Amino acid sequence: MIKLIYLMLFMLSGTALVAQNTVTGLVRDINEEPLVGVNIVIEGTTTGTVTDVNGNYSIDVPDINGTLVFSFVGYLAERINIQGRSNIDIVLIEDIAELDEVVVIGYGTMKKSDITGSIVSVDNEQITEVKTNNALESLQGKIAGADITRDNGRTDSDIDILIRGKRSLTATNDPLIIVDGIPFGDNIDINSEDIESIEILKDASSTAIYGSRGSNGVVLITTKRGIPGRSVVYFNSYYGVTDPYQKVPVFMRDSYIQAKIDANKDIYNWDVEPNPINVFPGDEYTGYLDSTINTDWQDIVTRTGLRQDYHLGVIGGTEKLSYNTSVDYYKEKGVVLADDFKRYTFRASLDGKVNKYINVGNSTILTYKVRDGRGPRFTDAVLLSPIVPAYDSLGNYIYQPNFANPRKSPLAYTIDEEEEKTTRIFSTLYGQVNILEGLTFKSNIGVDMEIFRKGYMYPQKAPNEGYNESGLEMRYNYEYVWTNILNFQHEFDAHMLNVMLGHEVQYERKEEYTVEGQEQLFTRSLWYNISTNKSPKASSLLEAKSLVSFFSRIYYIYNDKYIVNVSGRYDGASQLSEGNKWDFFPAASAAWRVSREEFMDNIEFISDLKLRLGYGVSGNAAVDPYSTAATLNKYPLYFQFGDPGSEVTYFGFRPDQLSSKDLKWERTRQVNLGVDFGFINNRIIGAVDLYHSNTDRLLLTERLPLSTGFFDIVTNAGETKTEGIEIAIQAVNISRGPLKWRTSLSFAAHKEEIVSLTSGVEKDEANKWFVGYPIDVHYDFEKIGIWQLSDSALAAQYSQAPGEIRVADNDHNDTITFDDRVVLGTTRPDWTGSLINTFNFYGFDLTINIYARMGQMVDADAYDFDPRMYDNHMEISYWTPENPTNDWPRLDAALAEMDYEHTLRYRDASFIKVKNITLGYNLPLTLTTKMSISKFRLYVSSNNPFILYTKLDKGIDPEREGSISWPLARTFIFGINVEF
Amino acid sequence: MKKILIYLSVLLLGTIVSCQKFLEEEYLSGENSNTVFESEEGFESLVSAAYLSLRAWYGKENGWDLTESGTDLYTWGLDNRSSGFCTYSNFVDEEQTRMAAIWYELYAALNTCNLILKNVDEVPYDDESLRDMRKGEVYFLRAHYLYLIVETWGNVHFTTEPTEEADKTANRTPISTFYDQIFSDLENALVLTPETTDEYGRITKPVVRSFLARMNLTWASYLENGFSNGSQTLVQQDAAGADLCYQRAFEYAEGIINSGSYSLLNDWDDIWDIGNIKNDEIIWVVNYSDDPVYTRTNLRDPWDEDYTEDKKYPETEYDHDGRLIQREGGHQGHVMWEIRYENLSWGLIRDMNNGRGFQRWMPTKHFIDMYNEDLDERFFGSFKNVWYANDADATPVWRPTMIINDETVLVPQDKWVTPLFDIGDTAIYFSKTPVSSSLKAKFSATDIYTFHPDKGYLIFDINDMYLADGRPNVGIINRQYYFPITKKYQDTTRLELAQAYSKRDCYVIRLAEIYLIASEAALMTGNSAEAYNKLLALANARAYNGNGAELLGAYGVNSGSDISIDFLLDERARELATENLRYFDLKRTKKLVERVTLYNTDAAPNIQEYHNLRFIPQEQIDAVFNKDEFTQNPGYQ
Repeated sequence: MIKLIYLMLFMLSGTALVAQNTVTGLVRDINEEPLVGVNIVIEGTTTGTVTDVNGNYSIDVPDINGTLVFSFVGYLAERINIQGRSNIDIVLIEDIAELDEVVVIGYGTMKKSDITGSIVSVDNEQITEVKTNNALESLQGKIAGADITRDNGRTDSDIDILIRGKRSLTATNDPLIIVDGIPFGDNIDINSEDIESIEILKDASSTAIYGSRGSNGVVLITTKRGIPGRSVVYFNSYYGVTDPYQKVPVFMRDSYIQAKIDANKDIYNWDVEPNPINVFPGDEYTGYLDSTINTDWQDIVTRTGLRQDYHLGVIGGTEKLSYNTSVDYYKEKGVVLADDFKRYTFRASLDGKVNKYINVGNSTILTYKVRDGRGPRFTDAVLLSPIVPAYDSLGNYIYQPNFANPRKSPLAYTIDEEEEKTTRIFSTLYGQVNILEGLTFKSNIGVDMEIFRKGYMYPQKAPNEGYNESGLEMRYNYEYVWTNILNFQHEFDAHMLNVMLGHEVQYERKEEYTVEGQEQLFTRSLWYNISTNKSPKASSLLEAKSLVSFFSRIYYIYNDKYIVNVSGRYDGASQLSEGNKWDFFPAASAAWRVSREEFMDNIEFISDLKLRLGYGVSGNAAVDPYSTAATLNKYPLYFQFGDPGSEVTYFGFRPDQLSSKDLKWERTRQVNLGVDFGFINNRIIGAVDLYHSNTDRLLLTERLPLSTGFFDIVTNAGETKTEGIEIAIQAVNISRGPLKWRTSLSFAAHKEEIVSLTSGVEKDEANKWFVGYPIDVHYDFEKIGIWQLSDSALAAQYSQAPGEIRVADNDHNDTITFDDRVVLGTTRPDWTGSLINTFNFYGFDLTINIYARMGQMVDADAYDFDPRMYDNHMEISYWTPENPTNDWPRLDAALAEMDYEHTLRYRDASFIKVKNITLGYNLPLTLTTKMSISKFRLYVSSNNPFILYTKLDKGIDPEREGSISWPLARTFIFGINVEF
Repeated sequence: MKKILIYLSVLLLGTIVSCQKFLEEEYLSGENSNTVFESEEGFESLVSAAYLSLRAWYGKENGWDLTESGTDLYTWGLDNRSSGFCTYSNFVDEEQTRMAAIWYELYAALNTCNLILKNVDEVPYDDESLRDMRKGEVYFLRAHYLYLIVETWGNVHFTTEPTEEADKTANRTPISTFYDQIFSDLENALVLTPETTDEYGRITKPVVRSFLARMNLTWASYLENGFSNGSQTLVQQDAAGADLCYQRAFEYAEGIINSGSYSLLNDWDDIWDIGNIKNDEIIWVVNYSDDPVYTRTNLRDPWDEDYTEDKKYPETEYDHDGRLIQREGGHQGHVMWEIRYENLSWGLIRDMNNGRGFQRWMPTKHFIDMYNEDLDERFFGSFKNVWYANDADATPVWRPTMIINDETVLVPQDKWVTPLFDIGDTAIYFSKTPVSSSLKAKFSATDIYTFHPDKGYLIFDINDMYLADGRPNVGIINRQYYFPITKKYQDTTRLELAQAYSKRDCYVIRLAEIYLIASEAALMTGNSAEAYNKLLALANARAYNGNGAELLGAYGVNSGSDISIDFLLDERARELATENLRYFDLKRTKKLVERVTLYNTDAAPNIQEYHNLRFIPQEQIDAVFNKDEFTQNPGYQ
């Protein structure tokens, strides 16, 4: 081992000896990649040199005890004392502050140092760190103020992203996702590898330029483009296994048998053992007698999954034309049986300079996804009895493992054929005219077409049970966006002025068609011969909406110190009511780069300091089309008249929705105060943001008294307030010799509450909205324990018995009524945070990402209670006369349901988990250059390796919020990155 | 360069002008409140929709929950997930969901009727007589929905105006206002509807008259007895008013009986024969068809995500595959009342003839005891008590056991003999009388270890089915209830075994009820001889031997003077059980508490006067803002 290290040190020490007074060496970054064009200057002189294409340099020094200064844009400068050495290899560390870095903002770009709002930029390296099929998932925990969760563990699950909490009560809270300037919808099926950067605009002064869609934050995704002058072929791949992260701890054989017996005991005659024949219905009795039967259904329906990804790309170009093209194949075998997913992505971008005046470019992403198999319902696996067998003596699955319980074997669904295919073409095309010096006009058209097809054939599961069913669903989504921007930029003396004028139209159209039927003649025809069904049924739907916008922004910078930004947007949306379709969304912000002031010159400690203040108004019109029309019939209804056998069907169109005559834009006004700082030569950088926002005219679906004949109506009602703090700190803790240690910390806490409801009430119980409380609350009876035998008399007064759930009599009127319900908690976390530590040691790098989400209360399926033990149950320590617990009630086979059993489901789902650990190794250049390889990296990585803290029971994944469907996967992946 | 700017300006300007048009919405995938009144076709679809909610009540679990469960006739079966409707004790969870569903459904229907009646005169109908006909139908339907609402919840929200604003209040309206409106709507309907229709199931004059008979009898009962919710009087006694209504009830009933359009069938089974659903006794049905496209139950609606979220239509049910059982499915009587006979595997597997068992409700012992099965066609006609083997190899997949003298006996497998049964052998038999232990022993105990075709059938006598106090004997075998099933709704014509919807039209009014109305109205107006005559006419049709006098005599009625309201209630039970009337009959005759206390052991400990009204769903109470005015019905807290 030691020999190996010596060997490596030797390799690292690099090239040959040279003449005296000449210092040579190699400059690389921490990934062992050579840095080209690094400035090397002898301190106190103007003598210097730069590194060559291989990162090598050579410099003659007059004094072998002098000092060399290495500097490079985007990297921290290093001062190295020569101390008589003739060979000095160094590693430069990236300047994490990267103040000259250009970040993408709405309809433009800007130097990071000039930003006045709250914008977080994430580069490709961070995006590809967590290996997943959804780029957003890898951002989990890395962005203060963005709460990112995965819906479930299905291979094609969506990612939910909530920026700065919830504002709207019922309209969507999804941020606007823009890819290369064009709205992308919420499903990010772009391959992480194709993404150059993701910017997240959090505050309203940044998002207001997106007007009516900016309320929930904006995620800007920029795909990789070609680079003139350098051609790179790269290949990235990983392969790994996954296993289910959650296994609900259910009763197994012995505990199950005991629980069922206890459920059949009389609490007042606890010693009397019931006759097992009466305890175990149906097949369970056989299982009770046969001690070999102990079926672990969750094991049966889960498997070791696989994930693999192959990504091959070419980047290059000339001054006139640059290109970037890649092909990607991703395949995932889910941890639940039959859940398989494949994705092919083809991407190409071209950017060309036609002449002095005109640039054009195009980027097209073609995605083809296939999801296969219906898969078993994991829920069944949790709930089926452990003392019935899964297979018969011939090895075939048993459709209904216990004839006395209608629950079917989850394995029955594995014979179902189901296939979802999505073809998506997302293409953008721009042309830019450089009209005059500083004046440009850019027109960008984006077209997004998605064809989704789902076919299914569910064969008959068992003789005499049901019939085959087949169907086909087609969805055709079509969207175009056309943006025209006139931009003027002028610099004079210390002033910089940028004026942008824009116009945008957007049209979205969704068409859907389905056919379905039963008893198809041949099962093998799948969904390709539905007309042979006994009763095929068809339906179709059209939904369209459009948006028109005008917007403008003015940026003014004085002396690189004072920055002012004013913007406004005027939006009109089709889905709002006549007369309320248009609204205006202004914003203004300013920043002061304090560190540029002369009085800061003497404060060595502070290398960068910027104060930011912004205010903006943004909107949300995320209501469904036709919300303002009083529509009839949203689903097929019918009535029949006529003699038996010759009925005539009449469609009945019943009012389904009240007209929301006055629907307006939801509006969020937000103030953001931020500070960006860099300490100790920017070794510690960070940002702290405080915000306060008020959302009024909340777009919400309000429940109505059912006596109106309607369930709800979409209205503007109420006002919410959100306050929060976000802290992001990155530090280079150690940068000594080969060892680098960097830490990145993010923290976000926010508090939201309903300020008022337009209806004027403080408590809207039907909607569970309460003034002064957050938006998503659990409002129910409050469990305070279990009625104990000693409380029998009191329990009886409340019509309850010992062992049953005791809820709080909050109004102290000696009876439990619906007025005793209280707000128990909220689904939103109090705070979220992450801590990412990265260590580099020679070619090795180790990253550990810890993610915390604290304070959220969930309504957890796993904690569902059934006193009968009709189905299996989470292994609980239930109440018995001998176990007078206050946690769980008694089991009682004769009780169909227990009063207030829902109260058992509310749980604190706070957790801290290790989200990702990655260990990588970059092969030394001395080796790779010989093979003409510029980068060769190997790594192992694990997502979700383990939980550090949870209040839920062992086996329950708090991130799944106690759901018992589709467990998340834990992954162990091996990967490789090569560049030539 | 200037040119470019000009072009750009023109371009921008052009876009602005076209903006307004660009932002207009056009809804093609359905109708809206404007388009629906513009054409006859559109409006006709709205009229059809007025009928829709009948399907949520008739032939459906919700309807039986609120009319049969928790009466003196039926208690809950083991698979009943809303037993609170029966026991009057639990209305926190499932019962809330279902109550909200049916509450919504009836008010949505009322709203549809109100919308139609408000706009019907503006619609461009080609044929004025069609307009009148439709108007008449909808007047009737509104009256019918008001009846279901007021009978279930009493003095609750009432309106004859369609909902146009998001009104967050609800009113409390006296029961008499409901009935005033019901009578006024029915009078209108009587004028406007046709005498006959080609479209069986639509409202005709005889339907209106029959319902007028029922409504007059109902309202007469309230006026006769007064009505209270336990804490306040909701209908004052009014003897004169009652008399008038009884007379009207009698007249309407007499009119139907004498019209010659309907007649009682002499064979009870013919009334219920799935091949004879349209017969001379039937006055009005809620139609169902065998067209699976429009009737099958597991249609999923892929468009409407709410639909599957169990929120928007909380009354919808999921089958065990997690698929939706949609409320528009067919008649569900054939599964709801059936038991899981196949779970016994006692010579039986699930088959077409025997059906599929959801075992929601079990008859009370008292109800079974009400019949004289020797004379009355209606016992064996209404209950199925014997199952014949349909599978010779239906070896119990469980260990067969028998309860003999309170001892559970396990049958050793080596004693099993196959085939256990010949097809057609008696497999299960329910006896409504106690079977002597010696006889039982002969059938089961002595030869229990060998299943001999002649001897191996299971026998459940009345004491196996019910405990001494009348409670169902839970867990007799495998923790299932076994009891004679109510077989009025059996359907052997369904397309496949598991099919949970039936094409059977649901009878809402049939002639037998009209005889009973006439009899009761006559009795209450002092004409007991006429009351007897009407009962006799019905009994003649129901007696095996056609001798109604003998049948009535067996029930203790030999002349008009023997008739009491209790007898009429018993007779209504024998005739009309499961036909969505029982709870209403008991409350109007002020017999609910009395009879439930006596005969329904599950409900007896809890039933109180206030249960004459059902609870208002909490969802409604939560959503109204005038909470001081619109409160829960008294007693439910």
